[in-house]
Amino acid sequence: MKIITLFKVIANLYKRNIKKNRLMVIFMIFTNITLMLFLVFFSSSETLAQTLAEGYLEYLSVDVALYESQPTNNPLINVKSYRRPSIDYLNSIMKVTESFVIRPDYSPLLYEKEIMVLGKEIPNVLITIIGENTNEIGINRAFYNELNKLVSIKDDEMLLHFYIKTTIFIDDEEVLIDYYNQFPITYIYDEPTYFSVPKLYISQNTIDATLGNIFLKPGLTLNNYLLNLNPEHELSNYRFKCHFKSAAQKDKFMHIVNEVSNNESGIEVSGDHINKIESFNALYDYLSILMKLFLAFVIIGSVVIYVVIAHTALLTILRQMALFAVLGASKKQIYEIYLFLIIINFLLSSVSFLLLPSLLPVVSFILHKLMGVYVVLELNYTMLVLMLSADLLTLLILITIIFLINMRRPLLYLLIDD
Amino acid sequence: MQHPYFLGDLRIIDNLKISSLFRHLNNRKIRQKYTKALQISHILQRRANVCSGGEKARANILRGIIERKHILLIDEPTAHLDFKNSQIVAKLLSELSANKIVIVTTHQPSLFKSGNTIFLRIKNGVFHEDNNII
Repeated sequence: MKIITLFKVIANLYKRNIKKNRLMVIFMIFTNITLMLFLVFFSSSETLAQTLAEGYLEYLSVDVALYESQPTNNPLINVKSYRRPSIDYLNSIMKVTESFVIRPDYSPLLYEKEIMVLGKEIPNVLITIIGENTNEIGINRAFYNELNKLVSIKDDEMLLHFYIKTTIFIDDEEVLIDYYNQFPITYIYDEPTYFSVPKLYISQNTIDATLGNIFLKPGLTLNNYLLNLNPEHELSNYRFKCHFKSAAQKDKFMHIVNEVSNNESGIEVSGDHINKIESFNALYDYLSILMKLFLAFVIIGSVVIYVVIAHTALLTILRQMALFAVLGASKKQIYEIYLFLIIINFLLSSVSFLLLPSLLPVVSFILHKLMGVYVVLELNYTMLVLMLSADLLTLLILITIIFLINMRRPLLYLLIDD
Repeated sequence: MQHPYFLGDLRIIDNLKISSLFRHLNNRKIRQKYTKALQISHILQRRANVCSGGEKARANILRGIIERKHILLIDEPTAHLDFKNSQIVAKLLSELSANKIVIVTTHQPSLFKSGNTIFLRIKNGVFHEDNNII
């Protein structure tokens, strides 16, 4: 029976401040949702970077170069010299990471290309060589969109005309490379839209079998010539192209690279997707600083709002508290009633955490729209519990201070007639 | 208090039970007894804010009684009551004075005329016994 009376009293007091309580719950829900979004943001960094990286078709293909820092007069300026690693050196790494494909870098020659599709030349196409064992030629969505701007694409059959006309010097002898081929474009790959550039995907097999197989001299193919170049030859582009068989193999390789590299010398692994991930991480770090500042403002703002609402709510029911004091309630009991009233708001606002399962797909959808990758976000529930506890603790401290300040004086005078 | 204070949205009965939240008193029997004596059984289920001043005044006296205090200090208990109800309240307070100290301020001293009542008049801020006040 006492419990029923207690609930009736609590409900009565709660209804007296219904507008303030509603306001408090709304602010608490807003704070909770904001905190959840921050939590999703902070805990999604690794997943996002990983998903973004795996979203590139050439994810398992990298360029590998050796670097050495050059002494300079200014310690702030870091000048590096590059050279192509020897195949033996890479083989020594291969022993640890199992075999992976090492091919010469065709980039210097591919700079001289011309690409025509449906009678239109597509400028600034990045030829991306992938390790997959396929003869199919594909483009990415950025390439397709670029082409679509130039010509209306009526059917899916697109023929790619590929030209290279350049000269190279072999033992001071000028050799003309005049190469033409045509390939059907058989697929369009939706890579992450994060700073996406038009790309043409060609497998290493196709390059080796076509461009790499042209004879520069009797008995000397382009492929062999490039493979046996001096490590510091400009045409080597100072690097080898390496194709891994799996993500695990690549991870092992990257681990070794990190172990053997330092400021002075080491291995540099590069590639379009690696540059994108690095720029994404830099952007993320910058955003993190902004988010942390914003988070601090949200927390301070919420605390101020909690204090104002909790204080005015207490002032409104001070007369009722005085009645309870007259009826024999100790200050501890009055505090418990006040606490109960605030905890109701806290519990009601905690309903916002039920939104969490649907919030994550929404954030994933936004990221999908922004970056073109579908990220399955996972939340750090330990952090969530910690955050919730900190929220409750802050609230308890605040309302205790408010209560103590308001209960310094006797309450009885509030019941005396005017 | 001439204007007794109740939680308006609660029924009178719930208001009377509030003190039991803070003290371990079982005042059910005493409440039933004095509810009859004060003739307010009909208002127990009503919300306090729809009760008249007189009804609330009597309910307030009941609240004081069930608190089981040794001293009752009551400011004009008959202020909002008609003559019949004033007599009922006065009679009850006189009965209670057998076991408690009951101090009443009133403009109707004749209602409280009983054998053990001491009448005091305030003159220039000083109490004077005046049993000829009636």
